Amino acid sequence: MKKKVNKTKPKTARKREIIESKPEKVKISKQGLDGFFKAENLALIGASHEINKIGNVLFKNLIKTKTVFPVNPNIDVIMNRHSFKSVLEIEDKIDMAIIAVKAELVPEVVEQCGKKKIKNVLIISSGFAEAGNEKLNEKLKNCLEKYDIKCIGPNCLGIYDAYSDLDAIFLTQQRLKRPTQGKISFISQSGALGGALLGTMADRKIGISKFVSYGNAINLNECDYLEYLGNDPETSVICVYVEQIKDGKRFLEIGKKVAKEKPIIVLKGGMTEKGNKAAMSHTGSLAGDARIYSGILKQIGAIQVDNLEDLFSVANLFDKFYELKKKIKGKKIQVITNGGGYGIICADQIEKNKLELGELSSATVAKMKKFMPTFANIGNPMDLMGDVTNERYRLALDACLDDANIDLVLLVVLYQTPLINQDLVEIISQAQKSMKKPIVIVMNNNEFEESIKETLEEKEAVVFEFPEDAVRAIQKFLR
Amino acid sequence: MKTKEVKSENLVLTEFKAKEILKKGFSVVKDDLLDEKQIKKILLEKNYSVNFPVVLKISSDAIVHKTEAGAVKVVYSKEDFLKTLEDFLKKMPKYKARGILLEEFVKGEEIIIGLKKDATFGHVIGFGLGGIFVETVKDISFRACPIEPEDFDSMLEDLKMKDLILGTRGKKNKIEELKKTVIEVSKLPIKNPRLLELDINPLILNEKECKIVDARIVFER
Repeated sequence: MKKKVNKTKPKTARKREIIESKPEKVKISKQGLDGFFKAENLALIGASHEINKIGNVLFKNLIKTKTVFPVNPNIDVIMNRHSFKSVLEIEDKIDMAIIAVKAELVPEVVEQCGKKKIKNVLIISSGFAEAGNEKLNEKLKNCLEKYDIKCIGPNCLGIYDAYSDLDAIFLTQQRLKRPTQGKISFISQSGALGGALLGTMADRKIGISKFVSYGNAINLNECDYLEYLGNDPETSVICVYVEQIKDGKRFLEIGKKVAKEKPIIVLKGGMTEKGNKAAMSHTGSLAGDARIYSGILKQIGAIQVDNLEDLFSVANLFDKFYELKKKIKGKKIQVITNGGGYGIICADQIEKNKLELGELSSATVAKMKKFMPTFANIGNPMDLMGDVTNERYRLALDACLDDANIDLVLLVVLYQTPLINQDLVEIISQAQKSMKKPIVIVMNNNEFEESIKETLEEKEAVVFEFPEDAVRAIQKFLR
Repeated sequence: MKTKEVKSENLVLTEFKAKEILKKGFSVVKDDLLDEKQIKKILLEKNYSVNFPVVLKISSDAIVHKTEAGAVKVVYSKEDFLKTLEDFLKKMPKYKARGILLEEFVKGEEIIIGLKKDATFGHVIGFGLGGIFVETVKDISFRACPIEPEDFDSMLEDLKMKDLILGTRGKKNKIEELKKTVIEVSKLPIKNPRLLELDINPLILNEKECKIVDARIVFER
């Protein structure tokens, strides 16, 4: 099915038009993987005009910000642009080729990339080692080696860079919102999982720097990404989802180096026997002994989390309190609550997670006695009582933030009590801005609180629905 | 630690031979191997001098689990000693045994230290509480070799049975000795890259000492 195009223009003229319209800015540094993440001139091999095909989604995402040369020998025109028969037809220098064709065709197009002197290829296509197709895998590997090509993938979702505006992910922007610019970068062996986290980050207004889904890791592997992000000035926090580490010894060496500079938060897939089996058919690699992985992650200084929720929330804590974290020495938490039961659950979780309930200084206690009801217990957890007002919250929060015996404040705000209202958001936000100590908020997620929570998150607050999730994340954050 | 099937071309050293190697750098229980001739002589003369209690073991590469096979016994008296010796002597041909091992009896927590070559990370070391706990709780913490002192501390922190290892009810086990041993074991592959597996099981830890009781070593040929 060919799309109708303006037939008055000869093909060559159209071709020239595209080339002339490309922006002048071509910034390719030799640094690490900038050849991928900072690529400006892209060839999309397997570009498609059929709506919702991978080659079509990628094309639409890419052309918004980049110069894209679509390659597809079966069609002449894609979205009013000339489609090239092969990369060899393109006259311009190509920084990165993105390949989304049938697996069997991949070695051949990589060969063409090699001849075109393209040094970076991102292979989306699947059907290699993960599908048991070792022969094809070998063929591709040899091809990459022959031309000394760096390769992300195959069998992956793509890459994203919020700073260079590179959107090489094959998910539509309508279905999956992209996060804004931020400090967190994410390395994911799994594409879907990476996509899910991107969506969550976008929803919760948490910024991203770079994202890479690397699939089978045929030549570039987790170590290369870790090293690159470790040196990347646009990245402060590194999240990793991995099923199997390809190069264990290098991972130890690079991991130790990077973890000294930046938090590395790791979710390891295939920790159980069944999960391990599933990993084999997912990205063609066995997941290995879970206990060895856990030990080694500790040894390099990475933070291992057990689930996606924690991966996201621990990253969020580091993102919001990155500078403060460097100053925190202890694990002393002050719980402030307006519900007794919540205070107790928080205290239980704090002990269970080997954190401490801090003890307020006598000066703070004396100060607080002046505004608290006489029967109130100014301890930890501190119960502000059912008749709590915005003002009482403000005074308590300020007092605890100024107390040197406390490292972090866990603030429970239950809108069930009638005397507090939306103005409390501004009070919390002011306290947060002072950046004296991290404040972690626990708040119900009912209809009434929804907009309040959203406003708080817009103001860079960290909000949890349940105390146990909050404390578990705090434990990983303060570890 | 689970022992994987080892290819026949590898060199496997058990108990007596493994301990001979470890004696060069580690504290190992004192032992003495009696061959058939010596055993018969003792049984005849009945005046062999030994400190009780003492552990008697049938020394053989053919027995994997000595306790289950009834090839280990702690004896407390001369009478028991001679009786066990006689009993084990009869069992020897069945196990193609090289003799009977007399071992110093040490009491304390049974610790297991395992080292193996992992396909991904190279040599890794693990330790935890041994005996029945290995099978039931699987409470072992691993790190890549070699480890630093702070790695040992964090490994100990990982263990659910940490308090038992440290010593309970007022006991204070020689944890520093254990630390030294685990760190030294983790350094063995540096000079012995052909080391495939090393299982120290058990090592006995108490308030006074930390001693290797049994071990198994596999070298790649």
